[in-house]
Amino acid sequence: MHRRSIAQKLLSSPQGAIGLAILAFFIIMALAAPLIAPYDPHDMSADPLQRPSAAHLLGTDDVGKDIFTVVVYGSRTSLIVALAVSTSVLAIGTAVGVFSGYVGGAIDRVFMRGVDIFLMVPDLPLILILAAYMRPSIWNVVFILALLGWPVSARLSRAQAISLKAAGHVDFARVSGGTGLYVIRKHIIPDLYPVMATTVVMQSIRAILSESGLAFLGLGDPSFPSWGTTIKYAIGYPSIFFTDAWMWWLLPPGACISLLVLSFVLIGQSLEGDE
Amino acid sequence: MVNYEKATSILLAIIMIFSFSFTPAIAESSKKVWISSWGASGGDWGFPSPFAFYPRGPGYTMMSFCFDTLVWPNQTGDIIGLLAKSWESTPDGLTWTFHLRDNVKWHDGTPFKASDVIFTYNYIKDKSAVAPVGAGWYDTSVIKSITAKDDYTVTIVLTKPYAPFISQVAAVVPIVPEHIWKNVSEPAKFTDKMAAIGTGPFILEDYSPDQQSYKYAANKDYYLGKPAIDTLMFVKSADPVISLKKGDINEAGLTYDQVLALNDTGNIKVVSGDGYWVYRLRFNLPNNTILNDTNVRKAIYYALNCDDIQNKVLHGGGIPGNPGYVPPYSEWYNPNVTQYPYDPAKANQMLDAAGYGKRDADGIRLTPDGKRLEFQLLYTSDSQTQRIAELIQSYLKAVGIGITFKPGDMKTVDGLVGAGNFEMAIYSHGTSTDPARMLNGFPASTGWNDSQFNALAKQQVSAVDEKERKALVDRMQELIADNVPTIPLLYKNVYTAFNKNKFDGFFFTPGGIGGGVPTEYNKLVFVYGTWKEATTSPSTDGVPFLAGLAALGIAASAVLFWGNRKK
Amino acid sequence: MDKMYRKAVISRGLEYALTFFIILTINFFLPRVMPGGPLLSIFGSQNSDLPVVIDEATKHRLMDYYHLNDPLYVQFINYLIDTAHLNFGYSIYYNIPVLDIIAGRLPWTILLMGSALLISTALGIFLGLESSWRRGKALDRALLIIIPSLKSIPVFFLGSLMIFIFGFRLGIFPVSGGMTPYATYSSPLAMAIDVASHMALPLACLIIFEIAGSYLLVRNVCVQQMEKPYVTMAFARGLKDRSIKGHVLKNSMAPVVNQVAAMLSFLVGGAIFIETVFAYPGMGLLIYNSFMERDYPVLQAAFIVMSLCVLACNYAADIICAYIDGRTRQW
Repeated sequence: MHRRSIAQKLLSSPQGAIGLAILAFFIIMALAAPLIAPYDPHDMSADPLQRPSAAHLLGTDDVGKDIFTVVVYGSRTSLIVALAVSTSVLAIGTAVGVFSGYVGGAIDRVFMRGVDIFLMVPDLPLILILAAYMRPSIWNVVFILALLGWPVSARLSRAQAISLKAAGHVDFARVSGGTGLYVIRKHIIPDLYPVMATTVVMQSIRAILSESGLAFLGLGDPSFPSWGTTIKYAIGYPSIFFTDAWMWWLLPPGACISLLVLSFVLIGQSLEGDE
Repeated sequence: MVNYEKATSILLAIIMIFSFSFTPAIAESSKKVWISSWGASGGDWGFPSPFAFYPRGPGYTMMSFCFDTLVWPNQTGDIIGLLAKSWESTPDGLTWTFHLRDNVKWHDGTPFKASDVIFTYNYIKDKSAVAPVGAGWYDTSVIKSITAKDDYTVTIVLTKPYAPFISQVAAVVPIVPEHIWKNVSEPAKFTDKMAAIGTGPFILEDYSPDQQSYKYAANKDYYLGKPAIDTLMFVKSADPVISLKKGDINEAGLTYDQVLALNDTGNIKVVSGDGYWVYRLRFNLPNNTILNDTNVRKAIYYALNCDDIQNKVLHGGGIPGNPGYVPPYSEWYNPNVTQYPYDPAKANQMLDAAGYGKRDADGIRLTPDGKRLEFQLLYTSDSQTQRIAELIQSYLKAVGIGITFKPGDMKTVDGLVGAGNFEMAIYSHGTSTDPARMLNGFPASTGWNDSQFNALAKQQVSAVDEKERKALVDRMQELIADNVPTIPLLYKNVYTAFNKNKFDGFFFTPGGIGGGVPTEYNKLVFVYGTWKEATTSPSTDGVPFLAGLAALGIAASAVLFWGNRKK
Repeated sequence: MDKMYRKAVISRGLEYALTFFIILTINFFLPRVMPGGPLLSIFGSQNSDLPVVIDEATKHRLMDYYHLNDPLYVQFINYLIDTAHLNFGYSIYYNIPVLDIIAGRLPWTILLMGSALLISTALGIFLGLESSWRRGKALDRALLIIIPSLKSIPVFFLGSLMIFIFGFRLGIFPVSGGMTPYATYSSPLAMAIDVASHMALPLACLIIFEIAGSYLLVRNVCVQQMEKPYVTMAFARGLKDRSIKGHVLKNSMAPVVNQVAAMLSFLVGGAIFIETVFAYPGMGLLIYNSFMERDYPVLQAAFIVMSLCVLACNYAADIICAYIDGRTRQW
């Protein structure tokens, strides 16, 4: 079977192209933030709760920050978190899962019990504890999310690896004398693409949302402007739905999160060679 | 293959028919029901017995509905007699005599007598090692002896003249029935229905820790008069503003922003009160050598624009802090203390003079040994405190002091401060109007140990003469303002919104209840207030839901039949 | 079931028991690692809105009463012994037996999370299968975009929005809680309807949030299965659509069952955000509050319940999975 390269897959399908375009838009927004944003993201000198005007395109929030600035800079946070978390989860989870599933036996069981223990430590208390001892920086957030995310990915890839191990072509390769690593690399991992694609998409989404969830609990990184924190303050403002404020305060960060996630979804789909 | 689809459709039809034939849940429809809510943040304050409630203000409030004290503050903040109809003391302030009412009954019908008062005070002293609530709330250490002359007279002798005795002890300690509690060895664990039997205007009908709700029935024989309502309920609400607008609840305590969100609703009345709730900056004294320098703290105070912080964080629902610590609306307020208006130039000057003149590339000052003048700011991670922290960081950055954030939950903050493991912290808590409670704890709560201040504190507690006490408290405020052991940033007001077409009469007690809890739930509200409404209508929450269910059933059946047609 | 199968079930069981013990240990130390303790509400200096400043002697005696002064290993041993006797003690915050508290909250969580899991998985499987069946066509493309995007909405945002629209503007559903407080019901069905109407919004939120997981997984795995030769054969032989779908589904179940098992671990932990937004009386909120209060007895018991649930579900998942697909028995 002729396998197309990733770039070919991405660009040839409309979904991939759109997804890439959206992602590129946000990447540009993140990189050019100091040029686009009219204010510094920590600048609180304006009056709070103003409507959109020439000076403040999206008005100001409850403490006097320019919402447009915060939204623009927020793209940096979400992108960093999404990419960092999903790649580390993918790497660790797939490695552990495939190795465990392929080798089987006692090693597999030990690994899976380890995964179980990880899964069973309740995540919220763990996050609170880590937050109590570590400084609230964006990298610690990434660390926490990756730490809590890899077991799920490991379980998934292990399940697939086990199924594939018993599948025809893998058995044949093994019987024909392929070493373990060769079989894994050539036969199991390519068939894992669907699961890996799902993982990247789901983990990116989970990372972006967990970051906003952590912000909701007040455990995010306060010095990084983020969409999650903006949404948290917007919802915390009692009049948000009773006035028009939701249009310029709640909608922009919400739409940004949705669009960014959408771009990951589309990219993930086109990577599967779907069409 | 088609059979199971048919079966499903029939099942759906049956569900629809059933849902129409049953009436929805009807909320309690007895005569005068009042539903209050603590909102989303609180609601479960423990079982309302004097030893089992959760030891914060609201817990005490829930208990105060069922239990009376000897005396109690009314709507002007004056102390009136509750279980005691009158009282007097000897001129030296050591012996207090209370004349009790003779027409009071416990909720189970037993008559109330002086022996109950004697028993209560002795019981509290006895059980302080196993009742955390008792140890924290009921100050019996100043009581030397308590005796009953007859069934309705109690004499209390103090160990020393104690100015806050009436407002902080007699108005706080609830009286429990001897015949119920005399055999209870573990008061904290006694959460039987009987544990809530008191003399108060309300009788506990139900407390549900799952639903976090309380239900009280009015005590029709209450000696001050029958309460204006029949049933009092406290329920949890995810969004009190929406619940108030919908009419699901009748009253809730709100923040200023929430009050603004309400303002177009016709039947809601808003009452505001002085909130003795302060946000202050706490320093790790005396361990942190840099912050131990008074001039550094003063410079920090000059660098902060408390007006602006109040505007940005409370949006008008409060006032900036007072350097003398006592809020301006208190009768103990001393306006003649050193002020620290927003003056960054002065702050810069003072910091330069203190030896931190050099700065690094970011503009942050350097200490003489080359380290950045940077502090870690510890605070609880709720939205308002977070905003305050951000503002503090930006103001201090402007004068060259760096701030790093360390948010945490309340226990973490308390734990770290208790262990001395912090540099600066934002503290927020209620205070009281009584200077003893407000100021005497200063050495512990700020780390500042000044012999002059401590001497004054001891003196004012024993100063029975009001004028003498005021002069001492004034002096204490001056000392605080001159030394800046802590920087009071804001005082937050309290607000309540309620349905005035049903009931009117809420007020905020000046000075708070229970020695200083700034709540609208002074039980006298329900005794003095008036019921306005004629009838109560049952809740109709269920009916629209049933309509939705029926619609769903119809839609699902339609889909199934449509799908059927194709095959 | 053959002898080897039975032996494996037992040895699996032993492994799970060992895991359980390790979990017990971790769950004991976890809350205690946090700074602060349960009695800080009495003598923590931030809550200086209490009348009495407690002296050290009373503080010490109070800590003794709650066994908080014992050295850590002593507390740990007592904890293990108590757990073995199923004695979970009294909550420091509520002052009532811990079992009562958990017994009050657990049903609500299981009801909410269980229904959400059931419905979202069923819907996910149904939609995923249909989507893979009509791969590339309009329905598939639409679903592929809509469903994962549903998960992109932060839960608390969606919850607040739903409260406002459905609870306030349209007035269909109640705003918060598990049931109308102190309502009198004319029949058990009326009570069921009240509970259901309170559950509707949180349930909808949860389903919207969770459906993407099973949908995507099922779809991707089914798509893979559909490329297998046996499917082409089945089509060629004219088998009915429904039976082909059944075969495809059966062969795709392994990762789905695993994922359901993974999601079950959150069943008891509860959805803390949902429960906060809707003030729903479940375990998630209990655990969060108890953690904030450092209510050790409640936390210990809650964690045990959670861990048991997760272990049991994983155990069952492994057995079922192996039973369905004989080829993948790892023993």
